[in-house]
Amino acid sequence: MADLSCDVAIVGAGISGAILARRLAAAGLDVVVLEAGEATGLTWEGYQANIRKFLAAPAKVPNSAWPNSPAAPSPNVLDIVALTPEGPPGTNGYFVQTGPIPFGSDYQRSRGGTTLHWYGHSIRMLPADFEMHTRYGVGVDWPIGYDDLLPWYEAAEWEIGVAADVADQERIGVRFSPGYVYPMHRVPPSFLDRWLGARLDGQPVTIGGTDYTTGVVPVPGGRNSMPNAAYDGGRGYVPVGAVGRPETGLRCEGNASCIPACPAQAKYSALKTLDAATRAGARILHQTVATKVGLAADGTVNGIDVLQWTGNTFPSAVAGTIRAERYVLAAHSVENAKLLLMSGAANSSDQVGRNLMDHPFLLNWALVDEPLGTFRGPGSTSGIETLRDGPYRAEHSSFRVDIDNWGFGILGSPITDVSDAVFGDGLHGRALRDRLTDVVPRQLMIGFLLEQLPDPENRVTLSPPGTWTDALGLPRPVIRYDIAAYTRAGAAAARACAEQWFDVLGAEDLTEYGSGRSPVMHQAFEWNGRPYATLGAGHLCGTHRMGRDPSTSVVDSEQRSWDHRNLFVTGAGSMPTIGTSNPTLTLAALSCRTAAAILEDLA
Amino acid sequence: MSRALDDFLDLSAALTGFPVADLQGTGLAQTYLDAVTAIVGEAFAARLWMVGHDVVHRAGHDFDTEIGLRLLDDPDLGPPARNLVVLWYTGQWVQLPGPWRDRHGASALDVDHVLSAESYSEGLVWTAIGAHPQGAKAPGFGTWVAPPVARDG
Repeated sequence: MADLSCDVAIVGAGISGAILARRLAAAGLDVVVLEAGEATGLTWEGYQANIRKFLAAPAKVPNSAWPNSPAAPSPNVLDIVALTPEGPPGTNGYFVQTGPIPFGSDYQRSRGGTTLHWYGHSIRMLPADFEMHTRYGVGVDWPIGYDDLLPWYEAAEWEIGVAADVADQERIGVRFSPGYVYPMHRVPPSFLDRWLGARLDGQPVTIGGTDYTTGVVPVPGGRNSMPNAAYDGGRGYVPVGAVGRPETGLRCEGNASCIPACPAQAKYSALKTLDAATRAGARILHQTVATKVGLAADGTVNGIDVLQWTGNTFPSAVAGTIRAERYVLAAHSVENAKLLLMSGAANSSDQVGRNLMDHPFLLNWALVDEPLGTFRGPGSTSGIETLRDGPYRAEHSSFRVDIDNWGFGILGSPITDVSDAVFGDGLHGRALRDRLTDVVPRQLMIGFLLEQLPDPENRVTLSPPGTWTDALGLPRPVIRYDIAAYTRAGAAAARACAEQWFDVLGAEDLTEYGSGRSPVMHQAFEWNGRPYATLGAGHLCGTHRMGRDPSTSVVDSEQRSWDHRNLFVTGAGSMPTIGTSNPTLTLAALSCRTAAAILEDLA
Repeated sequence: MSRALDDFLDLSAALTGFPVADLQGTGLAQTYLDAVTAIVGEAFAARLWMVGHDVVHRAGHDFDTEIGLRLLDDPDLGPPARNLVVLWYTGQWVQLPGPWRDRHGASALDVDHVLSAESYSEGLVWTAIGAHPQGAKAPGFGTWVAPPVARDG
C-alpha cells in the first residue's frame, strides 16, 4: 500500500476511535483510522447478513454475529477452557491463557468493535469509584475526579444517545449539572423489573452484619427510546437510526438480542459514529493491522507501520507506514498493550499490559411461582444499584446487580430447556409444551458484577518468538489472570445477598457453581471453603492506566503517553480502577476529553 | 400434499403438542421432512413415517402412550423421533447417539447444526414460552412492560 500522511492517525475503529475521529474530523483535521478487522455494517444489507449469521449460529455467543479473520483474530468465549494449576496453557483460539483462572471475556476486532455486541448499559461511575485508595485504602485513585469527567459524561451521552431519567440516577448518588436531562427518556422498565421492584425495593439486605437498602433502579441504556424534549436547553434530541437506513431503529423494537446483535440498530454501536466521522471527512482503512509504533531519536512517534491484508482464509499482506502529527491508539485494552509491547513503546513505567481487570460476573438463578414474562425486551432494563458503594469496599468488592430479562438465557435457555425435557425427561407432545410454558417464564436470573482491584500480575504479555502467532505472524496475547481475595470475598457477600432476596421472593434457588451447568462458566474458585464460579463481563480495563506519576502509570489524565508526547493511548485500558459501572460510557467520556486535548494541542 | 408429508405432519403434531396448522404455518414442514430423510436415509424415514401413521391413526385417544412405546422408547426409531421434536422446537438438529450411528451408518449430514436462520426463528419453543425468537419477530417498543400471558394456546 502507499504510505499516507495525515494530521491524526487513529488505530482502531471501535467507539473510542470513532468518537475521536468524528470530533477531530469535524474540527477540520485530516484523520485516518486504521482498523485491523473487516468492514461490516457499511450498508443495511451488509449489517443484516450478520444478523442472519447469528440466527443460524448454534451457540449465540457475543461474537457469533461478527467477522472473525485469521489476520485480525478476536478472542471468543467458546475458546475458554478450565485450566489446571500445573497443566499446559489454554491455547484455543486467539488468547494464550496461563491462568491460574482463565480470563473470561472477549472483544470484537472489526469496524464498530465491541459495541457491535455490547449490552448498551451506559452507566456513569460513582464519585467514590474515582477515589478507592483515599476512601477505602485499596486500589489507586484516579488522577481526575467525577467532577472533572462530568461534562464529558454529558458529551458521551450525546454521542451514544443515552436513554435514562436523572431522578433514577440521583437516587444512587450520581450528580448532574443543574437542569440536565438525558437525550431520551428511560427505556420502559420490564414487567419483571416492576414485579421485582414491588417485592424487593426498599427491603433491607445484610452485608457483613450491617443492613443496607435494596434499590431496584432503571439502568441508563444506549438504545433509542422516546426523545426528551427538554434536552439541550429545550432543543431536544433526534434519535440516530440505522446506518444506511436511518428511518429504521428509531426506537428499541424489543428484539431481545442486544447481545450478540441488535437487528434494528436501535441500540447504539460505533458504526453510527463512524458513519458521522466519514461524512466529516475521516478516512477509515479496514483490514489494516498496526504492527509497530515507530519512535524517533527524540522520543516522539514518527509513524505507525501497518500490514494491509486481503483474503480471509490464507491472508496475504502488503506493508505501509502512516505518518501524522498526533497518534492515537484506540484498539481496546489488550490490543493497545500488545501493540505497545511489540513496539517497545510507552513503557518506561513497566505498567503496559499490567493491571488487567474485568467484572467477574456471578450468576444466581431461581424459579419463582408466577410467570415473569422472560425473553422479552432488552437484556436488562433495571439493576439493583444501591450496593455499588459502601464501607464494605474496604474489605471486599462491591457490586452492581443486573436483573436479567432473559431468564436463564445465559445458561442456554430456552434451547437447553427443550433438550433437557426431551432427552433428559423423555417428554413429548402436550406434556412437553406445558412444561416449557410453565417453567421458562418463571426463570429469574440476577448477575453480580464484582470489582477487581488493579494487580500488576494480572497482565497481558506477548507470546515468545517462535510460539503462538496469528496468520500475519504477529504474536498472540498471553493472558495471566487470577481473581484475588478482595473479589472472592465480594462474591461471597454477593451470594449472601442473593440468598436473602430469593428468601423474600419465596424463590426456589437453583444456583449451583461448578456443576458444569454453563459451558462458559470456567472461572471456578473457592472462598471460605465454598465454591463459586464466574464469567467474564467483557469489561477489559487497566492495561495502560492513567495516573499522576510517570513511574507508575502509562498515560496522564488526558490519555497522553508520558514517554511520547505526540502519542495518546485511549479506551478502558486507561482506567486505573474498574469502578462499579459497565465501562463503555466512561471510556467514551474519556475519549471526548482526549479529543478536546488533541484539538487544543494542535491549535 | 404428498402422503409422506401428511404422515410427517400428523406424527410431528403428536410429538410436539402443536396442531398441524401451526406446524404448516412455520413454512418449514417440507424442509424438515427433507432434512430428516436425508440424514437417516429414505428407507429408514419411510419406516418412521409408517409407524408414526399407524400410531397416530389407530391408537385413538391413547396415542401419547403408544408413541412412547412404539416410537420414543424404541432403540432404532426413538433417537430420530426425539431429534424431530427438538428440531421443531428449536430449529436445531442434534447429532444422533453414537450407538445409533454405528448401527445405521453415520450420515455426513448428521452433525449438530441450526438448519437456517428461519428454522431458529420458527422454533416452537418461543410460542410455548409466550415470547418471540430472540433477534427476530420483534414485538415493538415497550411491549416488555405488559404482563405475560399466563399460558400459551
